[in-house]
Amino acid sequence: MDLLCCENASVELDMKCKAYLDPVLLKDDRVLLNLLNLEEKYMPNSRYFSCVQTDVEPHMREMVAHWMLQLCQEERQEEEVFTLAMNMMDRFLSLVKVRRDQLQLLGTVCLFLSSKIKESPPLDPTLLVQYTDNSVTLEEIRKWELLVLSRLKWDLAAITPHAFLDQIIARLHLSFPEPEMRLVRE
Amino acid sequence: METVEEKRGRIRIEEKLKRYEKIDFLGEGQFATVYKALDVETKQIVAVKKIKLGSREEARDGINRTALREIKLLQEVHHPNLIGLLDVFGYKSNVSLVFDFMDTDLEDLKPNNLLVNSAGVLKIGDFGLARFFGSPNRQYSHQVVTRWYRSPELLFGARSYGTGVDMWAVGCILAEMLVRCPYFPGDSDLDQLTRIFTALGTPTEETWKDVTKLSDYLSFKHFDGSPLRDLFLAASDDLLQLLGGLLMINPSKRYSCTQALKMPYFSNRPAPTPGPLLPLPPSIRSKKETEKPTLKRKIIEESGFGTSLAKKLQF
Repeated sequence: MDLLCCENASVELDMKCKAYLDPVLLKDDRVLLNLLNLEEKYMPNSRYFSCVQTDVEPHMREMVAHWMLQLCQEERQEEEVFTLAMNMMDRFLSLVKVRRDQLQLLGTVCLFLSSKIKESPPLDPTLLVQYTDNSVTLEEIRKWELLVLSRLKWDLAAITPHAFLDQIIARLHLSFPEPEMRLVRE
Repeated sequence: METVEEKRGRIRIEEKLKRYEKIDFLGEGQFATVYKALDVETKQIVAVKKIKLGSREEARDGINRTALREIKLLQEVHHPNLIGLLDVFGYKSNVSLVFDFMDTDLEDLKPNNLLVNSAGVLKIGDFGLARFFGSPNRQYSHQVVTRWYRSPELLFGARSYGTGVDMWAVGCILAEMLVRCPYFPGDSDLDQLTRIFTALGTPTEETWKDVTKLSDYLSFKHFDGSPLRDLFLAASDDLLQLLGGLLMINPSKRYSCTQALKMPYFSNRPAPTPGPLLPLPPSIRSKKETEKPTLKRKIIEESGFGTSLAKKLQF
């Protein structure tokens, strides 16, 4: 018997299937404490520009970050896709020396991975190639995807600032109606 | 041309491939193939689950994202009753997960993904692999789960849901353990809801506020439902109380995990049987019997103090 039960999440892009603010998760301080403890585990080394990288400089990271953010906005990605991708990129740069001409490839791969975790559907790799103006290839994305994964020990569950947002808002005990709450979040 | 870093990465991956020596083919599911293997570094027996690559498009998308999410979840949770992820490695677009070896058939992950090892320890395996796998031809319709354990709000197409969906599934599993067969074995989504409502009663706006506003809501024939006591004749009162809290049709009234654990059922006697004393399925038992018994085991057997006698006498 076919037991697979499908959800139709296709109706409208804006009507994404999401978890509601679950009191089970928001009213228990253990959740917040766990988040705080876990966050530390995923901190990149803040001194990697001087300790690890020789070719890559801060302003290059900034350029790639801007490009990544614009891409995310253009593709209407969940906000967390960008923050998680940046965390992956910084953690990778804390471990591995890369050349400046590899930095955008790294940013691309981090966005690709991050969208696989946070988005449904994820970013299309051919689209990503287009966003780099064909400066990276699909083959490179696939190769580096595995490279990033193995160097980060397949651990992509980083806690980004977003994880705290609902926790903090819940503790403010605000009683605005939904539209105002959305404003508070933003 | 291969850069230094790429070369290093490739060598590391090749080393990983050699680390696990295939011993036996354990089985093949819809999404993965599972092997029994020896970890040559630790000499430990492990289960290697190799995620299948589907179509060429999937290969184009690189590492399977459902596997990525499963890995992420497994790395976040550590618990004696959750299957332990020991290692992960990838090769080209393939990904393999290395797990603790469990004695129950790893191939059939369907019976609620609950696995038992020969020490009687139960572990939850297979995090969401079936759950997020894509249907091949429709891009956006890909959230797929086993229907029998789906909560009414999901079947009604709720666009937002919470941890309650898992508590419903726990209720279904508990009911299944009592009657020894799936409790709501629906053969379509409609049939699934009909079975639930026939047993437990059709929800109304009074019993479940805003149920009629859910996107896939359908008006059902009114069923009163039966008291759980009439459905589970052999169950004790404390168990029925727990079951009632879990199988609450209205998700906002359903017990949370913490509430459920505080129910008297979990503190009332009898206490649970210690893992090693639990009866095992015949498939493992026969395997164990053919193995040479350890000295300790021999002494226990010869003294007639076997597992059946080891119990706490209650007066």
